[in-house]
Amino acid sequence: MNALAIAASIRSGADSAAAVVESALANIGERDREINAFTAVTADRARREAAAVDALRVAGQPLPPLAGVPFAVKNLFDVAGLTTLAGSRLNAARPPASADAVLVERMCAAGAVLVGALNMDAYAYGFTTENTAYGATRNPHATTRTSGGSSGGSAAAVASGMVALALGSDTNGSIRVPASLCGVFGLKPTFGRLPRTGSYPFVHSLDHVGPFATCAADLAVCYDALQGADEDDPACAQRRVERTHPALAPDAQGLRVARLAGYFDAYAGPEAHTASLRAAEAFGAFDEIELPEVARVRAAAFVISASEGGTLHRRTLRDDYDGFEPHNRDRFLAGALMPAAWYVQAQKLRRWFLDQVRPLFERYDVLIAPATPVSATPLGDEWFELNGRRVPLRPSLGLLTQPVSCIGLPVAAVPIAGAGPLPIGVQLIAAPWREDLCLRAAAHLERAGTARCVIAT
Amino acid sequence: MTIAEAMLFVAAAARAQELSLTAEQLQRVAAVFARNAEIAEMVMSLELPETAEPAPTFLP
Repeated sequence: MNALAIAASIRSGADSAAAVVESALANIGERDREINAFTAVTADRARREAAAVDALRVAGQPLPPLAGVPFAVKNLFDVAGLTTLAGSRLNAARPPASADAVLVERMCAAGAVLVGALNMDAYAYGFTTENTAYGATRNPHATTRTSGGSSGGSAAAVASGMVALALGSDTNGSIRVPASLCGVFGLKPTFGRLPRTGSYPFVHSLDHVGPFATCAADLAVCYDALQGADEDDPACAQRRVERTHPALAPDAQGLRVARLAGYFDAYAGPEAHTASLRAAEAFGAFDEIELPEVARVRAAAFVISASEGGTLHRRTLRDDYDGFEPHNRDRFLAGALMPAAWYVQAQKLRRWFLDQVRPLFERYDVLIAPATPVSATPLGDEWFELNGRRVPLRPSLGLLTQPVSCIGLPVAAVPIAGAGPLPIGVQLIAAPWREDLCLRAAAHLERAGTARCVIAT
Repeated sequence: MTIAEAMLFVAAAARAQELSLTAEQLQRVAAVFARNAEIAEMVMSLELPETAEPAPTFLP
């Protein structure tokens, strides 16, 4: 059942929040043995929160929009009483968080019930959620394959039906890549839209946070619950809430859509290319656009991430190199040593690229691009074939997402039905602050039958 | 940048940041750094106007 259906059944009294939570906890106990999405299950807290929802209903009080809906969060979000692991065993010795992250607070204020914390790549530097300390999160649709990353636990928990909603973070594609590989919906809002307060950082100038869901309407309701300014995140824009769910129009009338070609076709495998074409067809969109210097912009995102990420962990790399995740410690170290000139030029390139792209949104509301070059790859693989070339897997799953997040544009990741035997998604990209257009486009694809989330049971 | 050049740079930069690397670590990190240098070359070789502003705190 999706989040809105769960909330409706509780509101009507057909179900109780307590029963929904017990069922979710039982499902997690059963299903997560295979998937390994959860690093902590907050059963006691979930039961308390569910009881509070049921008490509200019994008292005849109005229920908030996500009342009784089980959700879970990537383990870089603070959860009161849990240690914020951020995927690293180095963090396990830290004291538990004393309060919830702002987004966790907002989910709970909307009535959602927290059932646990979710696996991720160590310190969010990766695209496969192959975590040496906490194990790999398996793709629910093919358990020998990756769930994507770094929010792999979040996508897998939703794709396997263990939760209806999850939160993740996206610096270079960490919501969009796992959403694509696990076949769920994800939203990376505009940079600065949602506060990161109480979440463990990776790259301050690129870190975004956002939700996963099984349908566009759930994604919109969840995103609406998360919106709002927060002064404790200096990058969070002080903007008013702009609700998107009420504006999910019954059709895509008036939406001007184009498909990104050039770089985005060159790095798309056959299934990704098919997904991009199908999405465009569903809008009757035949315009194709080539953005300038996309490969350089992707390189800029790479440089900024390596440099800021490496600098963040420089002290720990010096003091406890062996405690770091073997998959990424050398990348962090090499990043910490990058010359300042590379970093500054990368930051200049970012602003330059946004100036090139922004005018496009006078002609188009939504741009379509594939989300990942390929569908889920086998766990343990280091390379994959892409249009006849052998490319390194760990850095390359984000080839199509990095240029977009580098300039902070809002993107909905949407699973496209039937593009191949395994799930694969597209990015629906809009102008800054126009998440409403991304979500409208996602809802249209869903209604047209082009987009579909299939829960792996 | 060759691996040998990367090793020289990494060793010097690590010393400047008080990061001590074993010979084995130095080799691995230098290999990553050499790949980073190739990627950074794409960034550095684009000529931008002198007035181009960096975006350290980025608000689109």
